[in-house]
Amino acid sequence: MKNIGCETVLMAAMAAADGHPGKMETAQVEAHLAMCGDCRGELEALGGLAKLLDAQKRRQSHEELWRAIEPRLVDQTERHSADRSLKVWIPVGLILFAYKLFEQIPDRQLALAYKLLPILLVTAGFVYLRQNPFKIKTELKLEGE
Amino acid sequence: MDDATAIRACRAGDRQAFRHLVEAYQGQAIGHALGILGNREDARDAVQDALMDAFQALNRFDLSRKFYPWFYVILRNRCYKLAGARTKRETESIEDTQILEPSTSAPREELLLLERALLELDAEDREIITLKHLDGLSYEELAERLQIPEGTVMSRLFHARKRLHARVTRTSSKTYEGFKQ
Repeated sequence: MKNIGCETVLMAAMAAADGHPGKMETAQVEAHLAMCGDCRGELEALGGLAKLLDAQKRRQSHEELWRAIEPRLVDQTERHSADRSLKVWIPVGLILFAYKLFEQIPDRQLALAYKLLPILLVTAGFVYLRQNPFKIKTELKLEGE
Repeated sequence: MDDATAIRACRAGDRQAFRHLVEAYQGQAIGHALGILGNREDARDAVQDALMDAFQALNRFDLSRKFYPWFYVILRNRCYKLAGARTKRETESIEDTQILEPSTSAPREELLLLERALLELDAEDREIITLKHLDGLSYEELAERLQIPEGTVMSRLFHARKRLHARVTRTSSKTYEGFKQ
């Protein structure tokens, strides 16, 4: 006996065997299985396969990836940091250039706050990038290292 | 160091803290990538790329959640991207493709047959079957990992099992008789 409901019944029966409440009532599933030999046979076969699979374990992997990952992380971080620096310093450079042009206009009495603007801008850039402009790189690298 | 502490340190710029996450999950991740891709070398590549993606995305990680299920979504994206791009390898040794742990409880021939049938499945079928049966995930967990509703888990799992069953019986109906007992 095979009808439209067979697949739905089998799905519900397999879900029930997995401990998941299916979309059908248990009584409905059982009633269908009692009448349908095809479904009983298929359910038994699928159940057997599920049982065999449940008894297996995933093969363990003991591979070490950190040595391959670390240099990629260093590259990525440096690239990211360089991109970020460019995003800050290009606009700052343009603003300073415009500022310099504006400064060239004769007979202008610029207030002190205005005169401090370039210093404030550059300082804000370093603060945003968390960079120290006075830091001296003291790491020594030997040749062939 | 726990995962949350490591993630906070990574966010603050400490690359070494990421080592904790790599070492804690690399084995599990390679196993899962192998379950999708069916090839160890591809699995290793996918896990490395996924780890790089995860490092970049750590700022978006919700610290109240577990790391691995979040990482798994990134990993499977990488796996399917790689699966779509690669062509089937000509020479694959058993070592390169073995998903199942050699077991003493089942006859070697049965396991080989099952292993071969699993490898013949589509990546999506293989993924859901291995997550359900080898990792013992519930439907709810499967829905979270695969980002699909539970109803879809039920139907996908059912059809994947049917296809696996068809492949196993087609390869060796005689050997399969033993599975039923």
